[in-house]
Amino acid sequence: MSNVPAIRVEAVSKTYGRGQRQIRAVNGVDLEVQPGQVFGLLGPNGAGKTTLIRMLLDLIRPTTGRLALYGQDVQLNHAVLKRVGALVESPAAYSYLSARENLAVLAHTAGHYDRARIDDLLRQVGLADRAGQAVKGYSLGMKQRLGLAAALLGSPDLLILDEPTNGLDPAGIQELRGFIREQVDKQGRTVCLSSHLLNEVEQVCDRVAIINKGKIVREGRVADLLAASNSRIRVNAAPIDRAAAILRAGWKITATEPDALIVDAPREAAPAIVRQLVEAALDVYEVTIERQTLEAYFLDVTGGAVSSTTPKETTDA
Amino acid sequence: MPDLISLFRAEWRKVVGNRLASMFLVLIFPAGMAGSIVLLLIGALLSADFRHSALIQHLYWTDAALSVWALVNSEVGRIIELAFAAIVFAGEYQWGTWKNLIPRSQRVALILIKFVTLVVFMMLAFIATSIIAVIGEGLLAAVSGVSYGMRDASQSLLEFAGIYVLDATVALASILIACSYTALAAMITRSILGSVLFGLLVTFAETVSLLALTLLNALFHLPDIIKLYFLTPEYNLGNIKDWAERGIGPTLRVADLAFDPQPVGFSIGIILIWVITLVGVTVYLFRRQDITT
Repeated sequence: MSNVPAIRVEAVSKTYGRGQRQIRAVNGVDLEVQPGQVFGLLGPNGAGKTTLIRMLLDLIRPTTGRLALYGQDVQLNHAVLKRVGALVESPAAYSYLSARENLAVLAHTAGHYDRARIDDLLRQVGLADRAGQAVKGYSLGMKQRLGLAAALLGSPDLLILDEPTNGLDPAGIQELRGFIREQVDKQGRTVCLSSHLLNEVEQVCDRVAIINKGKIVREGRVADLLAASNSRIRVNAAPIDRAAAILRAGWKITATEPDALIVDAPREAAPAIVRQLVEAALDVYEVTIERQTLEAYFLDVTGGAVSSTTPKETTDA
Repeated sequence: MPDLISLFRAEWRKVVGNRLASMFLVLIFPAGMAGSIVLLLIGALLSADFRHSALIQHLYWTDAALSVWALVNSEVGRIIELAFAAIVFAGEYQWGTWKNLIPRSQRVALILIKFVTLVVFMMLAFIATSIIAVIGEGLLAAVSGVSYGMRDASQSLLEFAGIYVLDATVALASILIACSYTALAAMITRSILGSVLFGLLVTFAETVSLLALTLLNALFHLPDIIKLYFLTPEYNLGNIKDWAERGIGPTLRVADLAFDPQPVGFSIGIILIWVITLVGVTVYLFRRQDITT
């Protein structure tokens, strides 16, 4: 696999307006996406995700900085965009044309019309039966599928998908998640996925960047971000008052329940806690590590309200 | 070059697939002409008086062929051209489809091919209308039993062909200028309706420019200000047409002032400057424009 990043963003800013009405949509973003992974772009509405994606596609010019795809500056070498397939925000199509005609228009625009390829893609996204029908009669989900087919039209190396599950039903969402993983794991593509569905990013992405107010606030492997996030340990032992007395000497107990204690400690502290209780001849029934979800972590780093935690790993004693 | 042909195919599909654009705004010219001919034929078949009317007794195929180019600059013709141009240029903004196209091709090629598409569709429509007019009036002459020749019998076919091509070229320049206003408006307003309105406004402003200059002269006694009219597309297109047909341009008369016609080379130069500037500004703006829809 090549060492050239699929995406490299260097000190990119985008400012709209002038003077007091100036809005900085993207503010000094640095980012690198290596080939062969699903990279998640996560952020609240107005964080700058779509602006960043539009700059990658040469739809918007950066105020400062440089954006490169496979080592080629997007503005200086527009042809590199032939290696990219994209679905940006809501799907857009010529409503008076059929799905097949829409794809034909895009294929001609790119200079590689292939009727068989178009029919194949329409089958892949489940639109073959209605390929000849005008798009104005399509549901949002069908338009989204058409957008996905359009993104795949040029057999791209890099797929940039902005909120691709919008409008899809639950089965369609699951199908799409599998499809995205397949693009990377089996087709060898790179996927840059922007989503407001945090569990989607958590499930599908290898790496994630959290963007807020135009800046990247965290970036790394999803597993690493979750490991670095706050966690606590739920201890179910008897007698509970003795367990509390023992643990209080070394740990901070944040809550007491009728048959359990909540200890504010990282995952790595679990063996020591279990050992202490066993050595004191207490009965340990269950030790659960409650880790923040990506959603809670996201809210933490973006300044949102701290949310609840969800059990992720359980160690039965 | 192959890329431009491919891009043109894309534009062709978009226009042909859009019934409003293709059926109503392009086919309306040949269809309207065919409809008119059918009505005249019915009239000629049913009424001897109509067959002997002055309208039928003086039919010339050369007039029929050239008459269509007057349609290009007529009010109705201009509104239809502007509406078509607005759909071609502003449609992509309204449908949010630029974001699908720009990553697939160069911006300059994408916008230039729209001018080509516009010109091709409009010229095809007008040439088809011209052919229908020639054939239709020929049928009308045959039904009415009148001769159907050239208005100027001394003119050779080659000479007529020269005049026809020149009229078509002037019409082409006129379409390009009108559509460039609309294209510019599309860049700014990003709306089909806004583009049509802006195009109409500029066309109207050009039409009343001579009146405005005359008023300024009357108010401030600046006779030379009238000469600004020589810089308008309207004057220069008319001047080129007159030079071609009569060998001399029109003398411009405003109140008690008379201005000699400008040389045809001057008018060709001014028209070229207008076309190049308007298309150039459109391309320049589009190259720098942020696509946010």
